[in-house]
Amino acid sequence: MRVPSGGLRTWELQRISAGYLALFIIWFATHLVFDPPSDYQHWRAWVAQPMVKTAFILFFVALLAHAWVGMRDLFMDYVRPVWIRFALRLSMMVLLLAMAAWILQLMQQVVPA
Amino acid sequence: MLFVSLPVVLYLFGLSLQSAEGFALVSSLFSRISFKLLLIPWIWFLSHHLFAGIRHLLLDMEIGVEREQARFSARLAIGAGLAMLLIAAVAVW
Repeated sequence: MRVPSGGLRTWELQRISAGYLALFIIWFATHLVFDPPSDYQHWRAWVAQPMVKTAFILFFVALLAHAWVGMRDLFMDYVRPVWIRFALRLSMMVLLLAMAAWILQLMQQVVPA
Repeated sequence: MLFVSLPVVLYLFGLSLQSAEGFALVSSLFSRISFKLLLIPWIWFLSHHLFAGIRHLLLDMEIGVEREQARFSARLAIGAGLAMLLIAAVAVW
């Protein structure tokens, strides 16, 4: 699969991910405020529900994509020396991929008891 | 700042799901003053980003692109972020 690198594609990616992130964060924050997890068992069981787990996985995908486009745009706009910009983008990619692997591993472990 | 906070947020999320001890540790953070002093501005940054983002999405849909309206929505977004700062400060403290 080709990574969308054209301006319009990333622009769309930024906005679609933004929409999902906004909905998820409002929903999750509301849940935390009105029904805070009382203990470990409840918290884990709640996250492990298929619908909730799917929402979380989609959230992390959207979050990493959103962070990738946002930081990329920031580097392109504000970092002039090409080699520094390249180094920053490379480190950012490594960091994002590491976080993606980490999340994958974490979410695999969260299964209904 | 939000980007820098990503690994920390992920780490705490993972820790809270890994074991009962991890959950207890993350829960106990919320009663620490040092953690509250980081959490409150973090909620503000995130809210500001969210409101400014919603404003940009509306502008992209050509809602409120007139100069006067755009200025008003800019102030509204900043104000909503500050309101969240206040709410977060009261709620977290």
